[in-house]
Amino acid sequence: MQDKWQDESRFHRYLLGQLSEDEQILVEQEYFASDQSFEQLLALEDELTYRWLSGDLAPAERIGFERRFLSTETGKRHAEFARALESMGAKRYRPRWRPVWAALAAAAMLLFVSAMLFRQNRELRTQLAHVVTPQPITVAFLLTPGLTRGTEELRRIEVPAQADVLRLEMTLRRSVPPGATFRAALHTADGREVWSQGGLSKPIVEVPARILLPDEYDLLLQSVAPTGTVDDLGGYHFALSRR
Amino acid sequence: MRERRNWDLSADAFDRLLAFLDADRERAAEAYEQIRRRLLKFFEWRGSANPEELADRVIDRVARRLMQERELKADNRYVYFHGVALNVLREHWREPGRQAEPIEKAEPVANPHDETARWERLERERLLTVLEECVRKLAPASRDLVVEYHGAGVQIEARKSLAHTLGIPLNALRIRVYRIRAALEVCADRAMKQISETGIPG
Repeated sequence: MQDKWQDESRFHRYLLGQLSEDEQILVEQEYFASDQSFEQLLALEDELTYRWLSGDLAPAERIGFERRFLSTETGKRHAEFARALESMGAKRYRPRWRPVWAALAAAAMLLFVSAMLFRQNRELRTQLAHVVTPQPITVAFLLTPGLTRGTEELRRIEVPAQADVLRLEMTLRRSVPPGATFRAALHTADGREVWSQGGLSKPIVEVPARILLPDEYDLLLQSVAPTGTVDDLGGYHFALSRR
Repeated sequence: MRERRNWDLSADAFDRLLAFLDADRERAAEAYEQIRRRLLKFFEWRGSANPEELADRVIDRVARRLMQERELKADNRYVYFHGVALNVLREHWREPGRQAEPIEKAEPVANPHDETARWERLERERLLTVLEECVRKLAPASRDLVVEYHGAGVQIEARKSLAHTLGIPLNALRIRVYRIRAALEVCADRAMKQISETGIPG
């Protein structure tokens, strides 16, 4: 097995289009088969973008990078994001070094303030004990399209009684136009619409659990192109029960 | 000839495709997403300007074969998709008007430091604003790591030194930072989309 350095060098050259066709195919077979290799390539690609922004790539590398990555919309968007992250100056968030005396003074002040707060806190805690707002409990499920009512295979979703929100992620069978949004509508078995939402950036919905009684449901998904064209993406049929 | 698009797949063909990927439907759906992601990157890394369309073609083709042959012999199903993807890529290069697309012949794009090639100022300012918010939402450990990583500079020696300080290999550090940056990008994309749709930041 090749060592890690060789792997990295090969992956690096792959990303810059510097391998022969046969070598490229070997790298591709590797990342199609291995999650680890795929993620390593994604991380290397990401780092190349930052090195390119910093002008750290050799001329041949820079040309290879620009031809390979900046010829697609995805690549351009990623570069813009990287530029923004760099220009934002992550330095702003960096904890600054402080002299020892300043740290000691801060510690003393902290101790004093803590003592004051401790007293107040004890009183407030008694008053607020029963006013704390609980976090909503969300349960998530992945739905696949294509199943229709009446088929034997039916997606069964068991929702805990204490759940507040049902998060449903829908797998798409095909692409949608760039910039399209999604609209989802939930229908009961008798065709009654119980919930709907439009303007979704992803095929993911969060439905209040309280509106869903044990029943069979159809979640109908549509895409809405920037031109306004609506396209049916299919239905996601499932049976919901409570526990 | 233009192929039938992915959305012509029948429910039956799609079910069979999922069954080919895994007997468990939920795991099959995850495998499908993983394969699609790899296909998109494959076509992107091979210099195609429309990776989505080509990835759809591959999926279509495998699904059609499954409908015709019932069973496909593949030691590794992910690698099987790669084989089909290579064929689709080669056919794509041979299509009329596509010959110039292989990256070796592509024109270099504009220099990143050229002001005219950048986004409009307003878009950039919006992106910076949402990104700042996304960074703020990061867990403190992740935020510190990204800050340290960027602060260390891009030179490999600086990164090695940071990896050494953290007691992890350089590759592990790179992947850790990549995951955080990828999460930031998703966060920023989502917020930008929301602004463009509603005019209101998320």
